[in-house]
Amino acid sequence: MVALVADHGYAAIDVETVCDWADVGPGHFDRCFADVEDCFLSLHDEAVEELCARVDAASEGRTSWHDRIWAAGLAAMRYLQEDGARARFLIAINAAGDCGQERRDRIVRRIADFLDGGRSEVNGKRSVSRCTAEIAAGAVFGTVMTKVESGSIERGEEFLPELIYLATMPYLGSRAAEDELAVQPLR
Amino acid sequence: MAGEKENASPRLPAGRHGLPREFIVQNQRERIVTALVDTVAEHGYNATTVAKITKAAGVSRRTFYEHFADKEACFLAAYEMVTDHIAASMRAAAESFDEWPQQVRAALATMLRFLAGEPELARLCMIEPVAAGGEIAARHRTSMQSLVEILKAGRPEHGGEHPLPEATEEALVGGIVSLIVREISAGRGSELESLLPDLAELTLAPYIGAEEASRLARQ
Repeated sequence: MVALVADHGYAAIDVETVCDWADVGPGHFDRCFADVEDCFLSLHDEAVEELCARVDAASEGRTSWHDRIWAAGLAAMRYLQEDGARARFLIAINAAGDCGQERRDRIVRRIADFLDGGRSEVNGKRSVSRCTAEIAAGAVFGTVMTKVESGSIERGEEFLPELIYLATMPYLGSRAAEDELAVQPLR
Repeated sequence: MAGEKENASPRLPAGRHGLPREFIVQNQRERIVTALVDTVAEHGYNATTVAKITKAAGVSRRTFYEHFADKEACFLAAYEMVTDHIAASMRAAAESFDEWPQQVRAALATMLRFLAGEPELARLCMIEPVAAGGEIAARHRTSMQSLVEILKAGRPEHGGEHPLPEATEEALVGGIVSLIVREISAGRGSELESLLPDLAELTLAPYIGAEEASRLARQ
């Protein structure tokens, strides 16, 4: 399923194609999954949980919000770079109808939860709303999707400082966030 | 408009009506597009079929295929009508201000007001293209460029030490669209205008600084 969706897109996949590729009978498929959507969403949920576990482990123990953001960003980037097919499978969630949309929203909310911790970093009279974290999370998710789609996720280290800049600027302010842009590409 | 097709595009009288062919063709095309909007609003793009569209439009399959190669072509005609209208309205709203930050705020306000007032069209142009995939999703990405161009015009406002990252505008538009899609999906499309201060603040901040963006966005 992962390889098929990565190569052909979710819309092109049916039970027969999956069974042929996996060399199993339709009866075996039916015992495991209700339909193609169920199969796709189950595997997608597993991959997202694995990615989140990786991100949580990387950011655990970091004392500052800023360090947690960097650790999480790097861990997520490396997970996506490890396996190109799995990365393309992950971004296919948009095509999976209302359930896919619900899963996508859940991922964006998890990113927003992470960013929202930056509210304690805001100086001065400004106040930053939860909504800001959700817009910034959508920006991060959309940019990563575009990079995976275009095959440029391999150069993730080059654009990670830009993503961190955009994600932290509402909290740290423009001047402080600009320091992120000076971070050398990570190798 | 969806749900008002009798008013928007009445069926032609049966039989020999003596109407000019050009009028009939245009009337049929509009009826088909209106029927697509209604059908997609009810069933979603993927479950919409040519049969459902022709039934809602009251035209034959043959007439449908005289106007459109397939369901996708019909959807794209409707999509372009809506997005061209939104883009023109945003440009007009922006042009009524001299300063770039106010132009951005006005353009965002116009887009949010339209989407909040037209729930079927909001779904058609913000949610369905992503689910449809293929050519429709690609056209959707291109259409979002109109917002990207409005934002890029603000680059000279940026006074920081480092130039803004190349992907700034695409990322900001991605964030804006993501939030709008989520609100529409959650049934809060009619409240979209309440997002304006937060959307404007985050959008303006890379160019004019977080504090000034916060002040202008909440004026």
